[in-house]
Amino acid sequence: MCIRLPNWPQERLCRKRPGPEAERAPADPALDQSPKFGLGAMASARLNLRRGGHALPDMPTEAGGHGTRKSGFDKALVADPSADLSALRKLARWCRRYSPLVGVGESDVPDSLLLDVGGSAHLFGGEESLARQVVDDLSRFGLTAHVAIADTVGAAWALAHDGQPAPTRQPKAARQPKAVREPAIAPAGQHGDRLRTLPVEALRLAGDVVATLDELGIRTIGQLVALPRETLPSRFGPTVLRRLDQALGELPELIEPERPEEPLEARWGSEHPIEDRFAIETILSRLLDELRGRIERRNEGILEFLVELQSPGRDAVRFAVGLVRPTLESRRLSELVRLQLERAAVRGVVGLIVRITRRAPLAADQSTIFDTVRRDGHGTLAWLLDRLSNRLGRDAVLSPKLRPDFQPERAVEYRHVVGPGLRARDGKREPAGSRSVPCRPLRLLPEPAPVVVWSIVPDGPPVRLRWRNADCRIVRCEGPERLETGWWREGPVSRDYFRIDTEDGQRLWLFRSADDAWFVHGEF
Amino acid sequence: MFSYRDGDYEARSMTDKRENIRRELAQQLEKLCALRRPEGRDGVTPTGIPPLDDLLPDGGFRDGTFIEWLGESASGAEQLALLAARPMLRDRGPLIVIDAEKAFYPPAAAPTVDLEQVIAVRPATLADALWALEQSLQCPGVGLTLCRLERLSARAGRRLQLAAERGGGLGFVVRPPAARGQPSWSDLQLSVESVSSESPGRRWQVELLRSRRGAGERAVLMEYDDATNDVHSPSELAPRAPVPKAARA
Repeated sequence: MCIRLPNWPQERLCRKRPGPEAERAPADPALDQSPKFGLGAMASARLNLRRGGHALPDMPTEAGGHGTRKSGFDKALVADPSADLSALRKLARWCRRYSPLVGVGESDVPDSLLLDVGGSAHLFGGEESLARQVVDDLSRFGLTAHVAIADTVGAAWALAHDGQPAPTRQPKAARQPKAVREPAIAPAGQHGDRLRTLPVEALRLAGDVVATLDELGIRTIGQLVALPRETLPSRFGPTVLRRLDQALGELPELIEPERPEEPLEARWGSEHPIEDRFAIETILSRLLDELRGRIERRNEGILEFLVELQSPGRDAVRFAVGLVRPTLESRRLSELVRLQLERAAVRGVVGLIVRITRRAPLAADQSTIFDTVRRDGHGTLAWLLDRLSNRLGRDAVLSPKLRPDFQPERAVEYRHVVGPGLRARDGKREPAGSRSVPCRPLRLLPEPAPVVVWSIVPDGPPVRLRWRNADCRIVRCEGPERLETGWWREGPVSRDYFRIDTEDGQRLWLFRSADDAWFVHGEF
Repeated sequence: MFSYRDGDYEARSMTDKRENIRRELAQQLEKLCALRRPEGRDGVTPTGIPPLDDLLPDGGFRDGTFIEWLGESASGAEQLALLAARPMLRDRGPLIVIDAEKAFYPPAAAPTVDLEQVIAVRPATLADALWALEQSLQCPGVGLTLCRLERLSARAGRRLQLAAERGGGLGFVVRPPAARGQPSWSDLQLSVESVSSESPGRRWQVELLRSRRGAGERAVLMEYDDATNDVHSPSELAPRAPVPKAARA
């Protein structure tokens, strides 16, 4: 069986991974605003412009910048064939439910899966029923699939790619433009006849060979078969005859199966519960050493691993240990485990599991986001960040980044130093002070604190305030600086900010909200 | 029988003697500290702020030192500390801000330091904050560690000072003015007071409260210019604010 996914690069971005979460994908394609690829991106942009009505000048930045709505219309995605291939491999592993032997079809553009259904079709009620189920299952993930079943891999590929030029069945929703193609099934022994009418492109030939054949007027496989067999290699190269033989079943062709990745996991069990923390640390170190040996051969280092401690009658204690850059040093790994164990309530452990969840090549240190860490030759900073993140928690060690947002609370975003979702920064670096940042306080209160303020004239600048149980006279006041966010944002703000100096030498950042209430928001 | 005049003389000579002993001890201490310092870590980085460099005994911050800045909450002590560490950050690398109150606001620091070089650490408890501070200070890959602490015991202070010595970076701890006069292990203790003035820039009076070489009870005035993000001596033309006498005799 061959499953062809003609729109794989676009559709893989639109939809989630195959699995239960894919069921929750929006049913209406108009609601789907995920980033698309190539022409898809433009279509999505048109969709959004139409949906948005008259566009405000800064509206796209607003919606794109805050992630309140995921929209793909502010960026065009670049084709990534390697990501397409790896996603297709993942799909191939998911397709093992239909056949024990699933592989990715070899071609320049990865778009098809090959399945050996010889021994499994009867479990699904026959080949046709199996093919329909595959199409239905994949369409639930938003994937367009062309399915073909034939005696040989080559024939199935040819039928899936050019088997039926016109769609035969329209989906129930008449408005939906997509057409569902009937599975092409060649009965046993009849694939040769079906192939003869197909164009030569269906033989998985290179473009220049197809062009040469076209120049000679050979457009179908039938015409190619009619030529003297022994002249084919000398006239068109060795591939044509090999592909023809593979399609017709003269030459065997094997499917290179996708093997599920072996989980990197080590376990240890005990009959008697272990109470001693030191013993637990020692066992975890041994388990880590065992795993280390397994990934050392691949020249990879550990970036993240999970530890699970099972106790009878209680919930298992689980924690993840993350690193800034991959390592295999057992002393470091054990130290990080110890830091986490200090905080965990560990009692009566009977089972320990260590599972490596993320790893990266040791030599090419691409997993690191920080230039500073990269420049840090001895790795002391990376080691410090590992220790801080594992003892204080991932959310406690953060890297700030400015965002173009007027609302002070949202003008900065924090990213975890350790953990998934890191992206390598581009080479452009802005030296300090190059960006013109308006004067802001070095300490911004997590929540604006209400304050009593007196002004001489209504809506005028403040002259006195009561702050931290003391009346202060304001000796200098600069402002107002009006900061206002768009109406389309949830909880829009409209504030007049003042920078004031009190007679005690304090410099505060005050604001008056839209409803005339005063707040202190920061301290300079 | 001593007359009042003789007693006065006696007291003065005692003070001189004491001063001499103190100076001698400070010199010995300085020598011992230089011996303890690891190889190649005796550099001094000037702050780039002329009045502050004049005030500091070494003309800048010595590597591997732990410095206390005493100032009220909105007095700008942290801002001045960050401005003074600018050359250090340019040469040595990252700034780690231990921010238990989750109040550090990076956009305000962006004109002074490259935010790529800033890591904010947010510990949940004081014990965690001290642990993180110590870890960061003893890391040779860190240029500056900045932390605001209300309370700091002598024992914790000593640990921090030793950690800074091991790491070779700078440790800045900003504390309230109430910490003045308390026992401290810091290499330098500076008091920052915001002084109101007629000029548009912000004025600070910075006083050196203690150093290994002894504090001279000196105070300098400096002015911060928002527009240029620069600190300099107050303009001669601007009306001079009176320099109050040091509170501690």
